Amino acid sequence: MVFNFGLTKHRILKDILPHHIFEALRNGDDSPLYEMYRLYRDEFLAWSKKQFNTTDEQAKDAFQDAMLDFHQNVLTGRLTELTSSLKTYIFQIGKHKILNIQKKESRLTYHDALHMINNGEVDHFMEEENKAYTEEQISQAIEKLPEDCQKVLKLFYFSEYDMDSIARELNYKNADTAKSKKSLCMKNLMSELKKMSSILVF
Amino acid sequence: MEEYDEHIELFENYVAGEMADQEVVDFEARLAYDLAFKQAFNRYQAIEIAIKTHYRNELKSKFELVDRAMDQSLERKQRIKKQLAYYTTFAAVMVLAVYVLVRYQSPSSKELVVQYWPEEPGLPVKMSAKGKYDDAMNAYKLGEYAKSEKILSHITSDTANYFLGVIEYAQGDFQKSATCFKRVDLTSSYYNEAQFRLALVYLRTEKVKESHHILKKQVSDSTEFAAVSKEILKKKI
Repeated sequence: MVFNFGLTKHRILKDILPHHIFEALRNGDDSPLYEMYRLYRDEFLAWSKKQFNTTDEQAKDAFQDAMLDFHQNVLTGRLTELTSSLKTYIFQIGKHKILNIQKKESRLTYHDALHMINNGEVDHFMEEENKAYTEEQISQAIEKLPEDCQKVLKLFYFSEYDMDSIARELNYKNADTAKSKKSLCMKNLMSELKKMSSILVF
Repeated sequence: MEEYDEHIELFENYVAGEMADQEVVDFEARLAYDLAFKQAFNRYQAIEIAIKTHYRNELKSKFELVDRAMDQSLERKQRIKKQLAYYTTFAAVMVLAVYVLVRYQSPSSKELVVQYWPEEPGLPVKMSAKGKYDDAMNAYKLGEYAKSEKILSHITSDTANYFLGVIEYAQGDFQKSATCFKRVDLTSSYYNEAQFRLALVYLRTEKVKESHHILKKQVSDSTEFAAVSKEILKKKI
């Protein structure tokens, strides 16, 4: 079944049954996700501002994370049916995201103060940081990988597909082929990372 | 690093739970005594997390684009709303200003005269016996002022003078109109009305002082035009 979630049709999204949305997302059609985003964002921003006294940035961040979790839950099959409305589900996740953000921000403030009085800890922290690749470097390395490798890694790590599903999705012979491909892609990724940074020791 | 590459399958099998029991024991033992192996495994796990984060961020950046588009549209709407509020306020102020101007501006003499000039229906014309004013009145009622004026000018009476004043006024000859009204005698039943009309003719010809004098007299004599005279005097001319 093919769904046409045109960008200007978000008003009718309310009338679409959740399982149709789930099916579209699982089929790789992300358009309902953006329509849901447009449909609920402003309401969420107003709600979180009123309920949790959030800033616009905090609320947007929480809402984005809530939408990402929703998406991931659908893709991984953790969410197959709803006992509440879509909006309630997203807002519930969003609420926890807000609380986490607020908790994290207050903790960060505490750590900042701590680092100021304990230089040794700061040095140790920096040492640990320098050992690993940064998120940005890893993102750049992924983007340098061939398209099929990017697909394998995305299906495995983001969509949490098992090897059988990856093989089906990408027309590989079997799960073993998919597994070998994934290992090869990880090696390619390591190689790209090594090329990108000769200073950093892995 | 090359050594690390060789470990990838091992790490994958361990993480996926695809090792035999003994292999797990050996793997975990190696983690305990081989620091380099342990660090390599930790970094492998960190990269796995970073890959997840990368794809999550990829989608998040698309949401940010949607955010930007929505915010821009919101800003545009707010700007239009602001402009609309500005123009509405401006229009309201303008309307108010015009109203105040109209409401409180002193009316011009001409407007005042037009407003207060009493309608003169003319004398009734009898069907049974012909009166001396009948032809003049018939012409007057038909708006044939020249004809009516011609007839009335041959009659010497206060009534004729009064109607001549009205006719001259209707024809726009205010000078003649004033002259005719002035001729109406104090004893005539038309006197008060002729005086009142004379005051209006004076007003029309900017003889404000003369006009006020007559109007004040109407008030002090308590004529039937006293109230309206008082009203006109109240207006700032």
